[in-house]
Amino acid sequence: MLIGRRSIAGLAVGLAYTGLSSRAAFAADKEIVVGANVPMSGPAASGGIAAERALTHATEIINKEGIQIGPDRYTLKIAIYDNKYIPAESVTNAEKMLSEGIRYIYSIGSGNSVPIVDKTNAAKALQFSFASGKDHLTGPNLPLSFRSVPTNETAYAIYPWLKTAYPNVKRVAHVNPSDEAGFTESEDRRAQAEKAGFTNVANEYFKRGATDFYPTATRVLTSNPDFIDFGGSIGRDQALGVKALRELGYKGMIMVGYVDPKTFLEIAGPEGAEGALLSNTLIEPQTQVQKDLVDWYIKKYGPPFSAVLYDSWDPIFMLAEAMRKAQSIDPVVVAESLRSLEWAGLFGTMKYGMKSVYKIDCSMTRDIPMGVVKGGKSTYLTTIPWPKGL
Amino acid sequence: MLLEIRALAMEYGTARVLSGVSLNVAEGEIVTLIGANGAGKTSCLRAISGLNPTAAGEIRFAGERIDTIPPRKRLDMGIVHVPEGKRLFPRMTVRENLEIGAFKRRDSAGIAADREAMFARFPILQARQKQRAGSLSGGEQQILAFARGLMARPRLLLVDEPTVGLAPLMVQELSRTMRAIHRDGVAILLVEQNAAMALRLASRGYLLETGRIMAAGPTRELLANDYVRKAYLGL
Amino acid sequence: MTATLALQIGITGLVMGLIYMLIALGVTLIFGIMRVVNFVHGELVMLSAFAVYYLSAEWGINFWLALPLAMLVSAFTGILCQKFLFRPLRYDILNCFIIGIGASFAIRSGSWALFGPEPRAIPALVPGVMRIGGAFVSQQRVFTAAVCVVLAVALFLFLQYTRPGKAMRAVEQDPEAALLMGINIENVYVTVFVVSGALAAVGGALLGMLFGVDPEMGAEPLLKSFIIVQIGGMGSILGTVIAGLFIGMSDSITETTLGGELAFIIDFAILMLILIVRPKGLFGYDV
Ligand SMILES: Nc1ncnc2c1ncn2[C@@H]1O[C@H](COP(=O)(O)OP(=O)(O)OP(=O)(O)O)[C@@H](O)[C@H]1O
Ligand SMILES: [Mg+2]
Repeated sequence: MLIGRRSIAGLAVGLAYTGLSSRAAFAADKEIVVGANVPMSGPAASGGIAAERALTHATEIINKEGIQIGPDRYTLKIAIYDNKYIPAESVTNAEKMLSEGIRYIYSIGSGNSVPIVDKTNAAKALQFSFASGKDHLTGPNLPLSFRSVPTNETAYAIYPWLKTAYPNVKRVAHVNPSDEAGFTESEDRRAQAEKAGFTNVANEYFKRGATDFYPTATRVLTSNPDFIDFGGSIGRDQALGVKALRELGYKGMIMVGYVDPKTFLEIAGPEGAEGALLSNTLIEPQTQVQKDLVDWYIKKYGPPFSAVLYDSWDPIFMLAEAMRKAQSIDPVVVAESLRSLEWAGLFGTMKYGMKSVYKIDCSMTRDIPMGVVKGGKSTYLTTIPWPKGL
Repeated sequence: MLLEIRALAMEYGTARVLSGVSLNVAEGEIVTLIGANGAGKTSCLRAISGLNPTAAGEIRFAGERIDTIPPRKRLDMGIVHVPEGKRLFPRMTVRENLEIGAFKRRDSAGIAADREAMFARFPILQARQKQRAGSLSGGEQQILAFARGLMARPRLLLVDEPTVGLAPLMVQELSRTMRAIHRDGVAILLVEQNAAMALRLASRGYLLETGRIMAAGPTRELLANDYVRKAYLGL
Repeated sequence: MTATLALQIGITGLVMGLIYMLIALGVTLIFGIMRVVNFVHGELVMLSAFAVYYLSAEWGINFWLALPLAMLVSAFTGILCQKFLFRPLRYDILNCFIIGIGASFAIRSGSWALFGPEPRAIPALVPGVMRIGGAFVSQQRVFTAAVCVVLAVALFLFLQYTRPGKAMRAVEQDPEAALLMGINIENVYVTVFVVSGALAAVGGALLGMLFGVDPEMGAEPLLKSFIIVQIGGMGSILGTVIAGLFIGMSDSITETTLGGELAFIIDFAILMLILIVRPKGLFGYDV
């Protein structure tokens, strides 16, 4: 099913990179292909499918106006490469994309983004990763690697806020999937929590897509935490984890992220979900853009709306804007333009930053919206501003 | 004629194992089919009960062509096959094996009566009725195989080497059983390597060699035939 | 380890073992009777869960009406697999295995496209949590365990005492002899897929209430089923029950004391050991 699309993509890029058609002023639009290396099947497929839908719709909007560079008008095209959430598949995808001439890559998942980042940078291709990560995915040696969503970095904002908002919390435990994403999140969150003055009591891991969470929950509870951070866990996994914790009698606080509030409530159940903090989560669409996005989604795909979709929305607009500003489609030039771009997006002002940690501005910084489940409903709690000077 | 086979041929893949076999069994008659190992005796019975397709020729039962209908339809007509090696259901009890012999019948009262009749005729089965069939001795298993076949109320019983590996006493007992079945009006086509026993029991016989009928006739004549005496009776 | 922790591990293991057993029974039934490893079974579990979800949670049909409908859908899908996948391959074990894997992946990918990325949940029938000693278990899990036991007993009685059940056992023990008894083997195969599909549907509904519904939900239980069926002896109902409980318990112990990653490794180690000592599994027999 993908083969057809891939060869078309390759052809299109070939066209875009030959100067042939640029002579004619009336020439058709030129296409820039963005290869999406995302899980469309397997235990993380929910994220990949949501991303595909967001990216495709975003490019439709961008292409209405197009990206005018000098006399040429460019459009963006998304080509999907299913990585099944398997690192080896991801590497194959990256090799294919690069050999087909694709120089813009959108990648989901740590385990899928880390093993390809050296290759994409060496090939001077710009890689966006919606993935947890640290130095191995971001740094001065990887100037074309951008982390398009704040992931483990949210801990830099959340834990200091937590200390003042919930002074009674003392003992923090982390629950994460046992893979690249989970290990990174667990480590970074532990570091930020300890820096903010909390005691770290446990870092537990579960197998992504596991059926039963009683064992993991039982295990976590033996360390007697009063705050449990689900870190890099996603969707169904963390809802089940939360449900299990509550059924096993846990009364302390719980924080989840990367979650659609409705789905979370449905799976964790009203009793299970009650009181959970929804970190970095937009509860209900607030702005017109957000509302339009939800309306379009429901109309096209039917309910439920997938809030994970918000995260794959802005990066592609920022890419288009960076190209316009730089008046170039060369990834090296576009990367520098992207680094200095301030974008008014779904989550307010968005900018690639975090130079103080990664020695290069390459990780998304923005305010962090927080929600909480109260009376069986997810409600807006507060917005944590991005810490100054990061 | 109850069973009429005309010019039957049979093949396993490309290997022809029966050719031009013609054979009859009259209502209530005991007929035997004797022959050496690999002669095609079992194949012949399998063609009659429908386990294997025929390659040529025709099989009629009570006047009707049966060689293209499935085994269960032939069973309905009264053809019951007690196969070589007994082929009991080893992890079912003796009683269950008898019941499944009557699988196609719906008259539960009749089935129960027949079961009791089997128990009366073969007391050993009654004693062992709750035991798994696989745990019976060879002779007991052969009796059960017979009884299971009878539970289907046959008009024609196809019996394949029932005496293999049995003690002489047991062989005698089986002979008596077959006579009794015969007296009830059931026709029997008996395949045997024990030619002496088979020829004494049956009224007519066929001699099969490498897939062809080599001799046929009343058992009296076959018993007197020099070739048969030398090759099959060891006299 | 405290007594409370041990009790908790025991309760968790018992419930999961019973759920795995229920899924595995459908697999072992088909294998025992047809010598076909049905890779699609996990997808039947998943599709039934979606069917129950849509019928009850979305369209407001009573759960007790939705479940039998889902069982029908699942049984029907099972028959389709039998007629259009396995029969054309003449039930050849290897071909069926390979085509089953293919079909399973195709169904899963199609389901992602059809049902979308967000997981769903079938609302629990019995909310609330029960306290046993110092250990906890949700009422829904207790209910689930009870349903699994009832179904295992029902399956046993069905095979033992009903006419179609006896026909199944006869075909399992000697298909050719069954043919001579007048049993229509194709009909028996259809019945097997119907029963197995119905079990999968109940399994899907129960899993969906406990763990949510998404296109991948059948994958792990199916893998566990294969391990269980192998350990218990392919085709042995008793073996499946015992091995199911055994794996549930062993998973609970390893996942709770050592962490989630290790459970599958330990499962396979147990499987290896048992297959070395008893190549046909605990209760397997020559086929
Ligand atoms: N399933 C089969 N496939 C191929 N060849 C077969 C098959 N069954 C039997 N044969 C061959 O067909 C021939 C006839 O076999 P059949 O079993 O009918 O002989 P038989 O007279 O019953 O022998 P026995 O006295 O040993 O039982 C033999 O040469 C045998 O090897
Ligand atoms: Mg023979």
